[in-house]
Amino acid sequence: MKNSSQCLTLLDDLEYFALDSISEDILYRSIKVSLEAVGKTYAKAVIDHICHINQLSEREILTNCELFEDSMYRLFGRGAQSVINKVKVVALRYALTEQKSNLTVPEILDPSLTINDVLKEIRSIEALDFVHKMSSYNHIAYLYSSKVSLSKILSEYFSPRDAPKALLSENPMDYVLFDLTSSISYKELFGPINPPIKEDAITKMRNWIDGIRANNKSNTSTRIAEDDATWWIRNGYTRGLTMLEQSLCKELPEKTSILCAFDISKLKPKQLGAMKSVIGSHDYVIIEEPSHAVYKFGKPIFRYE
Amino acid sequence: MSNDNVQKLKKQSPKLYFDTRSVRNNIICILIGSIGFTSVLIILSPYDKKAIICDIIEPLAATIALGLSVLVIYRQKTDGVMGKAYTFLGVGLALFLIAEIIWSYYEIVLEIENPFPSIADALWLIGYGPLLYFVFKMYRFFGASNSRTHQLFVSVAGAVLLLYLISGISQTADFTTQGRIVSFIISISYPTLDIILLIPAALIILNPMKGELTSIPWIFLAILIMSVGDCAFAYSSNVIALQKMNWVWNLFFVTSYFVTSAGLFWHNRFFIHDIKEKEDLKV
Repeated sequence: MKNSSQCLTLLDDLEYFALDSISEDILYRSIKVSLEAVGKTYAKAVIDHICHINQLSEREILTNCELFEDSMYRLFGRGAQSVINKVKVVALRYALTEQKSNLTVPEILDPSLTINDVLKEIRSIEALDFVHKMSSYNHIAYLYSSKVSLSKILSEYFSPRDAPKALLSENPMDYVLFDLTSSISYKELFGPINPPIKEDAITKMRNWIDGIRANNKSNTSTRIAEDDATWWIRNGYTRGLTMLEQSLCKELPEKTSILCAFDISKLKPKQLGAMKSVIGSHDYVIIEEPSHAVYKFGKPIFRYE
Repeated sequence: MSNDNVQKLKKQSPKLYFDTRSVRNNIICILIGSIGFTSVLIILSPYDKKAIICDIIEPLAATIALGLSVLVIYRQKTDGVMGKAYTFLGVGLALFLIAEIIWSYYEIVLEIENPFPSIADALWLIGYGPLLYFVFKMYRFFGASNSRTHQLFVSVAGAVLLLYLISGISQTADFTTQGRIVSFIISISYPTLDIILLIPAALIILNPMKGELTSIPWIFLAILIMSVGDCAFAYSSNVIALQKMNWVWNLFFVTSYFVTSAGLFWHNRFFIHDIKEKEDLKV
């Protein structure tokens, strides 16, 4: 979680901006509907009190789950529970009708399920949809801490049938079920290497990408992924990774999408700090925690240098 | 912003100002003052005048509660859970007020003792219906205590109290005529309905909500006071030695109306926001 907040700060510094999420709109509508079910004038009064105690606008409060819940508990104590439960039910209903929930029936019926869990689920589905529908020419970073989340993202990323799919991984055997055109380990690709990584390693990598692209006879884009690009940083090849990412940023091969996943839980704060230019080389960054969010490159600082 | 709007804003500011503590303290002070004043008035009055004073104060207290209730219904309208619940509370208070007026009319104007059962009894008993609706709606909305111990304790205490009261009333009951059987049924209806009201009210009070707007469960407190007073009244009415003390229970009813008024004032102050007012502010 600490690493995630450092990454969010990094994204802010790089002037990435979060894409709009339907979860905020769903939360807003759910709170409105739930409060108005108690009474329209009541809803107005409660929203007014909440805005007043937080000195924020209605939109700012009603799109922020924690702020809303905290304010409700401050105003009504335990009495807030009924409204909060109602908000959760309405949010779930909206999520289901908008096809933004994969929660199972036992998960839905679990009383420990919170509004935040519902919103996280919506954002997670949105991130998966984004990865599934991503255009043919994107360079995306995925910052994760959970292997399960990575599996889901990679599964969506590699879902198009006709596209050639390739993966660079420390353990390619973990992904045998993904029906990949090519999966290769760092050892197989680079052979024995010692830091600092040389130009020829980057060339090998580009050649590998070009080789996969050359086999693409379909109209769909080639999809290439790296399951944990922190391998470079952990092995002291941060400079090599930066060079590679910047070269992909400047000249992303045509009809090719590249997903670079980073298991940020494996990095120390100092190593994360060194990732600024690595992250900044991506068109989009998807971050898993605190809840899935897709960030868009706001200010092109590398590609058009 | 035009001068008109500045004036409007100045007028609005106190209403929008979120200061529950000072409002609560003021209400408590006024409440203590009102209850203290009426209690002293009743207690210090000569024994033969106590009934008349009670007959004046009770309808007055009920009128204040009903007035605030009408204001709540007018501002809040009748939509939603709160709208419906407070409308029912208003109907209950209206029925209670009419019953109080009829009761006082018999005693002050006609100068005769109220018959039993009377029209006032019918209205009081019907008035329990809307009150039950209000209490159970709020019980569900605010979530009463889920503690098994609380539920068991309140239910057992309620059942024991009810059995005790019914057995006490039964001992002096006369089942020889149909009219007396009806009287008996009405006599036991009061404590039965009181206990039904008392259980959810006690469970809500036992589960303090602790929020800034719900720190004092005013109306549930009022219902608890009324139910306790009513049960005590039902019991003492059947014990000859205690009949002379019946005026004491009027203090409970007056207090209950005052606390209800405090609750309605609180609701009016903090739970209702006139939509029109805010629209007026738009420049």
